[in-house]
Amino acid sequence: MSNLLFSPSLTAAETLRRNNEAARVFIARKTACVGCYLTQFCTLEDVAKTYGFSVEEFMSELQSVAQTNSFTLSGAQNEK
Amino acid sequence: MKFSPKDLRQVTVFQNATDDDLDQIVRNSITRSIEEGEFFFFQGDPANYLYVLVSGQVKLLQTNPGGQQVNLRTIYPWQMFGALGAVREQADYPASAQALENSTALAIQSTLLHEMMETRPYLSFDLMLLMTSYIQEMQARYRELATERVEQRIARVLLRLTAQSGQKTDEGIDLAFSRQDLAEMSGTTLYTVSRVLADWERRDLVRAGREQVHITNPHGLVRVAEGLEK
Repeated sequence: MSNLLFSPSLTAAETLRRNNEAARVFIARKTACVGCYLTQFCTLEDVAKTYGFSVEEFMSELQSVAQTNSFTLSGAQNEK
Repeated sequence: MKFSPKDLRQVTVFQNATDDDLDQIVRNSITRSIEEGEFFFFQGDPANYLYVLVSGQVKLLQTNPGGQQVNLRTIYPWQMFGALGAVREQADYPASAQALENSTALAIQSTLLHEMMETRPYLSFDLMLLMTSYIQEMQARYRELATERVEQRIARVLLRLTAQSGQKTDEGIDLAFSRQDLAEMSGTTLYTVSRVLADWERRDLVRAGREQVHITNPHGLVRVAEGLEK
């Protein structure tokens, strides 16, 4: 677990700052976070709760894009 | 308020200036300190000096003949303001500069910067950087005024202010700002701001107190600002 880059309490701003590619996950999840004025106030947990998806799946997608430059949307989101 | 000439390198226009340039500027300039509510200059005064804010906070405001005020921008330390005279001869300040708190600024003669720019292209270039960023900002605000509903404009101003000075709490985000400020910054009236805030309170987006707004549903406010609803 120690090599996890993201945690539920990390803000959206910090997540996007740490890894440019993270924006792709936020966009694929259809959030309005990229470019939003309030990214420094919302944690990944807040984002997941607001849009009604699993924070664990969200984090694993972010982790995947950070490490391998690619990710697959989990769960129902896949069927889009 | 002590500062060294090298501190001026934090100013966009002086970021590439040499130590000699900065020494020359500070040597030939005066430091002015004013109290909250006082003015560095008034709209219509001859723009003989440009200013670099050293400490405090200053608002630039324009007044129409009817006396209605519009806040153009807030200036923070190490930002330049009132620089029109360095570029254009016989210019008048297009806006007034009022201290929002006790403030100190370095007053630089417009002619001094003008003369320095003639032999130092980097000063001109960096002033252009500042000017183009202002133009872009004004274009964005013009677009907002021309195309967005007043509710959207107020939401955007609130979000911008929140990003700059909001405080996160357990129940949302706190922001210290009066309705009058919000009205001036979003180019509308106090009455409209009060009406919109009351509507948002009913929809549980914010709680508005005296000189204070508490954002209870940040995401809801983003939806309003982005025009994602209705």
